[in-house]
Amino acid sequence: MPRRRGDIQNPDYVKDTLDRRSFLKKSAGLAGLTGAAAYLGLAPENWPLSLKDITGRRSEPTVESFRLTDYRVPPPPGVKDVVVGRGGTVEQRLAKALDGIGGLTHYIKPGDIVLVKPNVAFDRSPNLGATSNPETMDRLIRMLLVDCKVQEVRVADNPIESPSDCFVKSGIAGAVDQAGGRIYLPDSNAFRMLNTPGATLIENWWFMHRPLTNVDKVIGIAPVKDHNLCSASMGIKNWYGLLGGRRNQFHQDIHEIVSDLSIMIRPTLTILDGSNILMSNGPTGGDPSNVKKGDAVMVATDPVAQDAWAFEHLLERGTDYPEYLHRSEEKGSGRVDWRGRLEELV
Amino acid sequence: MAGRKQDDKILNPLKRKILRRRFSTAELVFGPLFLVLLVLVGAWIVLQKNNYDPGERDIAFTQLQEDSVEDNLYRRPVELWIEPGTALAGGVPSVDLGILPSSLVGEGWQLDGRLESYDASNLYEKINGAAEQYLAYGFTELNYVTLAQGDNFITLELYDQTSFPNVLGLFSAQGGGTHEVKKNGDMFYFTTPIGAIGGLGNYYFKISGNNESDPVVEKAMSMVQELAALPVSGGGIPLPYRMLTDRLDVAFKQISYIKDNAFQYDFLTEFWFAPLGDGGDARIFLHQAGSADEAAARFGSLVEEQAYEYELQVNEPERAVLQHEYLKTIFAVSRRGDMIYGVDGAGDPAAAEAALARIEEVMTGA
Amino acid sequence: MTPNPLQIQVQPEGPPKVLKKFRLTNVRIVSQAFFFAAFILAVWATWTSRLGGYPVSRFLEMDPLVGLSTALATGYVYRFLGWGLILLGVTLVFGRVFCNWMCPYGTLHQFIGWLVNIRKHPDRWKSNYYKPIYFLKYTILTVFLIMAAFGSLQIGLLDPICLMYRSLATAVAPASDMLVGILGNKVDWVGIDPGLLDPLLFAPGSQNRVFVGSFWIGLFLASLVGMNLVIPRFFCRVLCPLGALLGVLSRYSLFRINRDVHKCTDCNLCLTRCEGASDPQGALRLSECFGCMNCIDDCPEDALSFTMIGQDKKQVVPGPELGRRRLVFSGVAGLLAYPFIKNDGVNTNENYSADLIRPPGSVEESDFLSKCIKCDQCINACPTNVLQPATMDEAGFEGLWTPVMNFNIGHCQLKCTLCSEVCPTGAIRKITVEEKLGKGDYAEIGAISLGTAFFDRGRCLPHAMEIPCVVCEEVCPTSPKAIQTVDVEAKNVFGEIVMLNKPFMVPDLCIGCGICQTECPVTDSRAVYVTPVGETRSEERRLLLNKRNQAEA
Repeated sequence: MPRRRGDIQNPDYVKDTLDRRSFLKKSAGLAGLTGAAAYLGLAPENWPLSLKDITGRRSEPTVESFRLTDYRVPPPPGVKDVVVGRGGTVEQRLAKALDGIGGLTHYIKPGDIVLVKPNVAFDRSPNLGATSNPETMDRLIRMLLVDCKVQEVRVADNPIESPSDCFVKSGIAGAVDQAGGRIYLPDSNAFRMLNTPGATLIENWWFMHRPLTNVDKVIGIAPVKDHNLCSASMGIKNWYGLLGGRRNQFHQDIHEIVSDLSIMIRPTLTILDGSNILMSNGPTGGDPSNVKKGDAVMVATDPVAQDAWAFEHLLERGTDYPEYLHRSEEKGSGRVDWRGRLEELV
Repeated sequence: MAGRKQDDKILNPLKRKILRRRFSTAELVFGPLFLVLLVLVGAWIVLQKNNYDPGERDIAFTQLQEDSVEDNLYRRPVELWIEPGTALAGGVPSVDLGILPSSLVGEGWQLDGRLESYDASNLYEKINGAAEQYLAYGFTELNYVTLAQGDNFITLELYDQTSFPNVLGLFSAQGGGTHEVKKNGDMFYFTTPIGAIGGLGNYYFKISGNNESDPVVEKAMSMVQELAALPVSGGGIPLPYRMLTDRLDVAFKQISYIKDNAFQYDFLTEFWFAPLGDGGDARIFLHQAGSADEAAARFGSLVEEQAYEYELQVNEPERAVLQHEYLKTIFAVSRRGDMIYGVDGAGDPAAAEAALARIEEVMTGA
Repeated sequence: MTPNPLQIQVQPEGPPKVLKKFRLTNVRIVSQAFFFAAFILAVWATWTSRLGGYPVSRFLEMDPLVGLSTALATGYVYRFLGWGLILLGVTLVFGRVFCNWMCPYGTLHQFIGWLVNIRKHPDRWKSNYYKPIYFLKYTILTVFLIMAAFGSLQIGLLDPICLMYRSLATAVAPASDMLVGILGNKVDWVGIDPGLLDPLLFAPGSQNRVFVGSFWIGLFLASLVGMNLVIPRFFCRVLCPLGALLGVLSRYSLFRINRDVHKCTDCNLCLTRCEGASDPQGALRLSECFGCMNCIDDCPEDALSFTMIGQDKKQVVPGPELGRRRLVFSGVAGLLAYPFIKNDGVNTNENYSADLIRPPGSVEESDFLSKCIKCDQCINACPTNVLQPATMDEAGFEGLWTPVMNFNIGHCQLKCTLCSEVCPTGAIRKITVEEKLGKGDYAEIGAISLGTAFFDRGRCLPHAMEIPCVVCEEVCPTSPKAIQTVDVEAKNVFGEIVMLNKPFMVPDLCIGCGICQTECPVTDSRAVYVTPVGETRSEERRLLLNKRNQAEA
């Protein structure tokens, strides 16, 4: 039997007519939603809030970059650009050299936040010359905290080997903890894009940014080491340790990258510690026979001249300086010719 | 919201409820005892912690020194690029030594690295602070090579100083005159325990080995011999110098050269001096001007200026003899062609004449 | 009545309210929280900057299944594995209380099960009836023990401590660190000091650790936890081989839950929160009871008590429900499983993976496989992330999730011996730095070598493309360096004269630390790579007849 309308009457059935008021509300709501969606999806790219992406490149991640400030401080009149402290203990040599360049208090003001950048690239004992000397570190941090009354001393490096191990076994972690500094290890989000105008290879490159936040002064403290590819790793090459990213590619143009480093950061002072000089098998060393004892601690406001002197007198490699020093000079980071600008204090 | 179904619940809705009413003493004694046990275990864990000592997982430095191994690896010397097609027939690749005699290489001595050249703009790369001195004496080019034979090394630095007087000046400035200078043809040099330093025409050279062993010294001496054949440029050896050394047999040490302001006259340059040889302060002097006319003009000016302090005794167009007003010493000067020569401070006119005659004799023989 | 401290004394009035707080179920929860926290502490403390004396391996060493199966496989009991006897003792006195008082994995399942349980009565207690499938764990135990007796150790796949350690170390901890890192980065960009979010919590000083195949380990964990929605404490009741071992022993225990049949009204409320599904309402299944004590709290008649009492066959089911038929079949399964797994052919001395590089201190491969319980504690301890859970590609099913070194990810830190220190079973023998580097007493033996590095000269920049590089030589940590260079001047294709330091290997000096591979800029397929041939732990996988530098000495 064909079913006709109204045949089956459901007692619960209530006819729910759409009155004008609710019809208008619903229509307006629908139109609003559709209109908003249409605007977001169809409006030209330059309109505010538009989501339109014609090239397909709007979604490419943009990396914000930052710049470093110039940490240099004009030296007091009459002091030389490079001062070498000799004789006595490491601490005495450091103190002599710092006095000779005008005193640490001239460069560091009370309340400053200071970053000290040692070379902790490898997991080696302090005496093997592959890493910065913890005794010098200890002394320097104490001077900063006590004599200069700084607010905070930070210590940071991005080692090639395991960071925790390198810091602990090089003795740096112990020295820093005892002296009252704070160590920044390279965690996953310690790096940001650094913009260095004038650099050829690292105009924009990942840089260990976290420890440099709000820093007022920067001091580099490096050992003097043999290096197969670029002949020597000294004060300027030390800044390599703040780079992140795929930095192992830089070996393809080592002299250019090292000279880029010299303009990447303008440290307040650079300290070169010629107490344990790694003469061969560098930059890793590992055997006491690779190390020569020296008695020089250098402090400089011109890292290029400092490296040149150390190359000639500590590594004893004559005046055939590594090419990166000349390139650094071309980029305006200092002058290779140290003669007349260096003072030795015995 | 009321009427929510069980499926809408996200987490356990029931509160913990205890239905039992009785608790045993043993249970209530056990509870606190067990908690004490847990605290003890916790304390044990904490006590097990010791401060991390890097020395635990390290090797003592003394141990490293004890077990230090000698690096006895053989390392192949650097292979330098050789342009294809330049190999010699004998299989010995020719090496590009530029102006240097290629015979430097051989008999076991090999080139270490390649020939390096520097000019005035980059000389400091090589010798840094010393560069100023070379530049002051007309430096134009440095050729630098290292020769090696096993552990023996010899470096040769050959500086082109433009002209012989520059070389001589540099040689004196670097203290060369204080040594016993030897001669080899036009070359002059003195030997050091590990090499030699000297000059030849416009070239100034330094040869130095890395030790005093016989092979090094022998090689250094043979290098000196080979350099003597180097073709010189920059005007060669000046005639006055050649006359003094070759004809008048004046010792190298006694020759002096005034570049500017001879006799304090700004128009007199490039004068060569040597002692007269009479035991006194008298000296002979020689000068070669660019031309005869120039020489004549200078001769005239010299005589004219000297007349203020000297009494003119002989005044000929090409010869003048003057006597100092107070010292009574004789100043005699003569000109022949582009040459000006004479004697200063001779005791009497006869000695001066004799000296002039000797110079003239040598000059005609030239 | 003289109170006997071991006899449960019923107090008519009940004690003061404060003391009620010390009832067994409350103490149990404290105990569980304590041991769970201790376990997390152990995972957290197993890191290079924190590992200062903490007995981080004790959980694994106390696991009697680890001790028993390695003793079966190797014939010996390594270092601290005797600690398992404590647990055996506890079980023989109190029954299988480990499962509900100590086991962190049991705690995890109980907590999650309790949290998501929205069943109403009577579903709630029905879900806690004993089910026949619960016999499966005894089968699994039998199979694993028989395989162990032949020398293939597989208990780590399902042993709860190993399983939980592995899951936490390779899946949960890195995931947590990653989330913390992302959060810290966001906070940092806003300009707020991220404080604790800055260093990664589990692995400070490392950059995002990754573990190959951790997805599957994480999925395994998530599935087992998720199964609590279907069957409460699914893993503990159905799969756990350690629970099975303790269950077998608990039949001899002095204490058990006792039901006073005269008081019992058969209301089944005791099943409401029964963790072990041990039928406290009827004949108690001794081997299933976890000793959670919930049934005592839930009995309105006070009919249940935990007491020292005999095991009357009419009142309890003492042993596991594993008849002779099932026992024989699982025995046969174990017997067959051994050759099937062992004869897989992917890990013989003739045919083994070039990626099968074991950490320093590892014993010879077949010995290794009879000791490694796949707990992955070594992997957690590794500061450079080089240690990875093996996939089937490297070590077959037998070596699944055992530690291998992946030098694309990290390198073996020269003076680090952490993996050997934390290994509970001696698969990685405890070594000192002197032994690892062949100094001091070990000078004659020489350094431990993990393998040998090789150059792919077709991909190496100086060799194949006239481009200077030699990062490998720079980072080589031995002295003298095992990577040396031939220095050649060449005119490149653009007519410039370049100095090329062309690297080559000195295998006599190579210790296989892999840092050359890690740092090689040819990142996809490295131009220098380490393979296990030449590893010192194996005579069969040796490469050089003599070390030439030693022959001279």
